Amino acid sequence: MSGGGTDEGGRTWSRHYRRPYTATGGRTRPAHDDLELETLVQTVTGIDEQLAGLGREQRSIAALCREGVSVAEISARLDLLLGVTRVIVGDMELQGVVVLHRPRATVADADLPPLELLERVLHGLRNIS
Amino acid sequence: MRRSPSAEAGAASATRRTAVGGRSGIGRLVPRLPILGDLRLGRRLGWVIPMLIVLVAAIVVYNARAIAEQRGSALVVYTAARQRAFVERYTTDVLLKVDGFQADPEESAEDVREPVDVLLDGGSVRAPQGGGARVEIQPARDWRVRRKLEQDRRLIDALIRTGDQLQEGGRDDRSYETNVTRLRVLSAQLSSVSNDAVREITQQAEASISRLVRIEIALGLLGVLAALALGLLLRRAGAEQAAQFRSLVNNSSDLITVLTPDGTIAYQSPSVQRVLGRRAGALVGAALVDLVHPDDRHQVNAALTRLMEAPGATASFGCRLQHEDGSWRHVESICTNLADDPRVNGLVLNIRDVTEQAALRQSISDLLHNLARRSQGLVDRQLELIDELERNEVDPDRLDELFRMDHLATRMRRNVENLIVLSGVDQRRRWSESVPLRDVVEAAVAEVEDYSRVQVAGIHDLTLSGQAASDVAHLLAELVENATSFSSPTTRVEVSGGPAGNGYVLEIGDHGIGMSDTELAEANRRLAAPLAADNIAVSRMMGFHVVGRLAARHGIRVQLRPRWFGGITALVLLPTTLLGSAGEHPAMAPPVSAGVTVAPEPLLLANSTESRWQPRAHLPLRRQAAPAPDRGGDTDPAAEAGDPFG
Repeated sequence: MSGGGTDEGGRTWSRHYRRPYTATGGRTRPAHDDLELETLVQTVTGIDEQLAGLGREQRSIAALCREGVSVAEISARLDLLLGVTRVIVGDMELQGVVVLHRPRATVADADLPPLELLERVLHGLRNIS
Repeated sequence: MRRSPSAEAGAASATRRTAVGGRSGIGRLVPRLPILGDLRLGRRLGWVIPMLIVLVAAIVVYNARAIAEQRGSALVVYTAARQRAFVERYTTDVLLKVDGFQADPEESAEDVREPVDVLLDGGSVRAPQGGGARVEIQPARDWRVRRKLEQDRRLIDALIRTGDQLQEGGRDDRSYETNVTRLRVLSAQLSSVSNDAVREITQQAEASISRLVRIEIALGLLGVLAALALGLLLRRAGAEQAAQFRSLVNNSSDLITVLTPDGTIAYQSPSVQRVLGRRAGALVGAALVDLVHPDDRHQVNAALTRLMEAPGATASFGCRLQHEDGSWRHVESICTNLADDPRVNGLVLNIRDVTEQAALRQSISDLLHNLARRSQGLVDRQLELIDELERNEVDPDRLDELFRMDHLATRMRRNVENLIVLSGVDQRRRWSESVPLRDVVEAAVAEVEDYSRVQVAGIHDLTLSGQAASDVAHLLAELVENATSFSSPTTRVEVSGGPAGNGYVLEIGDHGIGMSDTELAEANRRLAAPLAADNIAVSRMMGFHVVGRLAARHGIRVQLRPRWFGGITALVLLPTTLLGSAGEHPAMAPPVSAGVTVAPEPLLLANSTESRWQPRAHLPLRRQAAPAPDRGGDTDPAAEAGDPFG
């Protein structure tokens, strides 16, 4: 979304000049300490007028999350650091701009499939892609 | 006689000055004579001047005395001659009285005695001019004159005695006839003796006048000789001085050039042979600009034209002049307008060859640039590495540390870029496309130590030319850094923007204690006219030099001005040529707020429209302001503010 094209060394403007710490004012600890990557984020409807007062990243997230998007996906789609995304999403939830759909810890640790099985599943998934 | 004492005193004081000031002889006196100006005579011939002074004084004194003397002798002749008339009158008066007519021989007798008495004993007589004034006569000194006068006096006594007898006896006295005869004889004798006395006196006077004339002639001749000697001496001293000056000019490594008002060379010192390998004579009549490097001509012409309009003014400029062999020599010229001086009637240029200094400066600048370029490459790689680490980091504490590293490296990158700017090499990053202005501002804020205190609001949807984007980001970063460093850590620094008649104005306002008028003046001067790199090392306002350089590169104007409620606003006018509209938006789309909205200060805006870019007479160095908090303990924040070299 940022202009500038490339410089002589082939770098993009945002890669060169946009520093991740500015988006959160340097904060790295999200409001929710245990915000999972798979948490779904959905923008509260009818909140458009409130968006005007938000920062650029917040607005991008709000625009992206009308359908409900996971934290990890936000990070990937907007090219934001995962840590930064978690902080921003946490802030937005506190401001009431988004709601979070957090996966419930339905399975106790003891009931998890064995690690070996999980690795095999992972292997199979890699083969598919 | 009245002039002689003062003349003598003059001579005496001249001699006294010689004695007092004569640290090393008579020659010392010479430079003190005002008529000689600053002409220095050789010590060997210095005695001529005092001698001439003594001579002139002597002539003046002698003349005065001689004139007074001659005036006296004329009076003496006049007085003596008058006596004859008095004797005649007395004789007549006596005879008339005796014959019974009205006459007063007593008064005549007084008149007869007076001249002789005065001539012999001194005294005063009625001045021949009349009017009742009296003139002193000195007693006669010559013995022949005195003898005649004494004879005169004796005869007068006898005459008056005879006259008295005649008056007593009257016509009936027996001795009347005898006495009349005797009176007439005495009168005749007196006439004769008086004549002799007058002749003597006249001879004396004539003799002294001819003596005087001879002496005058002699003195005059001496005076002429002395004047001739002095003339020769002055000429010789002048010639020596001229030779000395010529040798100075000829052997100086500087060029002295006189330009006529139309820019052609009227005089060229021979040292041009050494500096430019050209003959001085060949240059006379040529135009100076023909020697100047084509790139410098405009600037030289401008400087000369400006100077031409201000008689008496001095200006300096640097340029390159072509050597006979085709190479270019760097020169610095100090130029004085002496068009008002009829002896010069043109511009005098003192031109110095600074090619070696220029080469040295260039090599220092190259060195600076080289080092900065390498550091820049390293910092860029470091930032890429940090980017990678951050991307994979999920632990908040570790990410926090990475952020700190990232921030430090970003600031280091800015410092390195400062060095490159100061080295004078224009090696900016160029982007292939224009960049949204908001992104540029954001990039600037990211480079500042205290970025979290900065609020950006109301920046319009504009884009900035890819050629200028990096420089503008850097320029803004320096100004924002300055604002954060010199305001309290609890206050905010606001960055906002608004369209202006000839571009777009960004305002960076802080709530610090501001700057003193002199500091503000100094800072604005630096912003308007940054110094060359080799002069900046001594300056403590390096950040402002960097801003000034970057601004000049793109025609951006920057000015600091005080806010009425305290603090400073930095105004940055981006010219229209650098700006473009973002995407579909019209050029001056209404601002879309980013971050916390801060209403622009209406007062400041209103204030700034009237005379926005008129440089104020008062400006500052912000060093004494409140120190910034030492947040990470990593660097000295004050040292970094607007002054990357600390």
